[in-house]
Amino acid sequence: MSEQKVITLICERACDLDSVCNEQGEVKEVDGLHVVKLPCSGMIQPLMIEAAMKAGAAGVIVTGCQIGDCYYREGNRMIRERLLGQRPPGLKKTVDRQRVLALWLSRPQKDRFLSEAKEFVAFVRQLPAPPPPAAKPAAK
Amino acid sequence: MYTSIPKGLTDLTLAIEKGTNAVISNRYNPFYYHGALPQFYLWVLFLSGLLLFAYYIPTIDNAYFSANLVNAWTSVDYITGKLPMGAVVRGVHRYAGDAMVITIVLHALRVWVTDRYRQYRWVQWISGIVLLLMVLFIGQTGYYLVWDERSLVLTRMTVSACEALPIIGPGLKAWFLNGSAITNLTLSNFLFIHIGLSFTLLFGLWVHYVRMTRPVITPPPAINYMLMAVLLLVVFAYPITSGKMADINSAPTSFDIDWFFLFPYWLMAKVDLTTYWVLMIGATVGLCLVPLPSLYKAAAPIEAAEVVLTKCVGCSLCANDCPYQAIEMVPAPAGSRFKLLATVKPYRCSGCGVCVGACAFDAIDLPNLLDSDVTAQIRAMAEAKPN
Amino acid sequence: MGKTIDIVLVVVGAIACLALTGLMPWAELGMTGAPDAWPLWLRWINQNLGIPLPSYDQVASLSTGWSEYLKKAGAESSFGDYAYSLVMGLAMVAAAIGIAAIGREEAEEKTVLPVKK
Ligand code: HEM
Ligand code: SF4
Ligand code: SF4
Repeated sequence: MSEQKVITLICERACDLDSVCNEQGEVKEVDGLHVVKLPCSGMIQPLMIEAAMKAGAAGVIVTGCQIGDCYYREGNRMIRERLLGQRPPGLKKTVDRQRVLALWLSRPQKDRFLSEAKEFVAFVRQLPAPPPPAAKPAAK
Repeated sequence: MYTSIPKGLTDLTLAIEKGTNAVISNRYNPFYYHGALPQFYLWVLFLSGLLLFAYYIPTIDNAYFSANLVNAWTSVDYITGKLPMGAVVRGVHRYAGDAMVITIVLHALRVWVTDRYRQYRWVQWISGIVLLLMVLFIGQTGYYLVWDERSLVLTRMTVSACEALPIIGPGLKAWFLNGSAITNLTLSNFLFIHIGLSFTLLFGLWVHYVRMTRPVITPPPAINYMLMAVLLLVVFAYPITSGKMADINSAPTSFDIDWFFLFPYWLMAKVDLTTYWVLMIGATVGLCLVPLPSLYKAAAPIEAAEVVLTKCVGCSLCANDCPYQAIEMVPAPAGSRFKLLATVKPYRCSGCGVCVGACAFDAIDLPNLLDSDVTAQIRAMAEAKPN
Repeated sequence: MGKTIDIVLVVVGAIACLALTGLMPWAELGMTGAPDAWPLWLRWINQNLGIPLPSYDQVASLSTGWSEYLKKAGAESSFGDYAYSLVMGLAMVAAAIGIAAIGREEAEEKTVLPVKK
């Protein structure tokens, strides 16, 4: 079970993980922690988080810039509010809220990211009853 | 990213902001309210200016034999010396002006250093420069209004600078003096310019903000208190001293410089007028050209978001969330099941993808990064067997 | 640890703010607490209702120091007004520190989603 994946959806302007990732976008220090870069954390759809969970990920880390410092002005506030259910569209009820973590870190803060991520990865992997790794959901 | 800006500068800014966050957290980091700081000082200026306006008399009467001389200078003197709190209000007005210039420059520097100045943001950049020029000129007219000896020198220098301009020179001079010589009408004109342009700033700010959704124009209370406190402390530390009353028949030559507003006059005194105008106009045009595409190395051209016409249900979520007012909801074409349809204005779009995150129907996409591809990548990563 | 510092800051900020605010009438009266500097109606209340006027004896020395500074800095009159500006400025700094110490708690670098039951 300990090899369950954790997916990081990160804004390319938030904390800089290039130096700690390998070519496939996996964090070298943490096995099974994968990074997907987006132009802005505001682009993250709650649907993407659901898709990751459905595909068997143990958890998802959403990472944007410091609140207030979004390069596109408001993107990180938007996804924050969506995760908290204060702005549509939100996460489905079925998504286990414990398995989602959001971090707001500026470019030089990769150490903070790594320590938080390690803790989170260990936490979600020991959670009981992970969602059954569903078969590939029917094409949308 | 950030390629067009010296890397050391960006790193330094990021390091400073990280340090600030560590102490007062992102919620009170003044750098994150960079645009709101000058806006706050603008409100302070409006309010304190209104109070001064109530006692200010825009005339230059210079009859020394009259015991009850009333003119601009004496009215300012009355405000400073006799009116309860007059000196404080005057000090606040003066230093809020200086503070506004400082915060505008910091704001402009920050948008530049953090690469927030180009492409779809050019309207903000250019209108910002116009705003800065307006603020500087308003401040200078403020210095004429006091009508001490410095005002007289500044007025005369401005007149000669106007005269040096070809074709429009004479007209400009007549407009500036409101006649052919310095008279009472001149001071009413200064007052009119000072106040009129200040209100015109509001129009300029509208242009500055029109392409931004929910511009951040109000800092949180703790920052407001600090901004105001700085003014009050400076008012005590550097009480405003009045110069001698202007006398049109005299020719004062030297004066103290307020570096925030009066640096053009310093330049004017150093070089001849042609050079002066070439430098001033050149600097302005140069600033306006900073966002010119050939001056920076764009990582990749921005590709505007595109709406999938068959999927959009017209829910307006994307239009509400787009940070650059780039999405307009238009009536859906006839025959559609829905009332509205989202349309992207490509020239405003930043390619940020916030609309993609807002759409629960997969109906809007960044052409160079389809959300279906992102989702597929996520799935592949989550499913991959450990190696 | 951060918490204790914040609480200390809030308390210190609040006390400093109140103390400085208390100086504002003194400054407004021209940096004096002398009984006949108070406006008539306050003196009337004092004499007829027995409500005491605050005493500013402890800060009397500030008055000379500040006036001297202002004179040197070029101010000609209304020293009390400038002093008012100073104490109000300091009070606002204290308030800002106190408020920021509270509000800082709400800032987040990390959002943990509430688990719904
Ligand atoms: C009167 C002076 C000015 C005021 C009050 C002002 C205010 C503001 C405000 C409130 C914002 C919105 C910030 C946000 O919500 O993200 C903004 C954005 C901006 N300003 Fe200014 N500004 C002024 C002058 C300038 C100047 C002189 C420049 C540059 C030459 C400038 C360039 C910009 C740019 C490029 C943006 C867009 C930033 C972004 O899209 O994130 N502004 N300004
Ligand atoms: S959020 Fe999606 S469905 Fe709603 S209006 Fe925008 S594009 Fe259309
Ligand atoms: S990508 Fe979408 S949200 Fe971002 S500016 Fe363009 S239309 Fe607006």
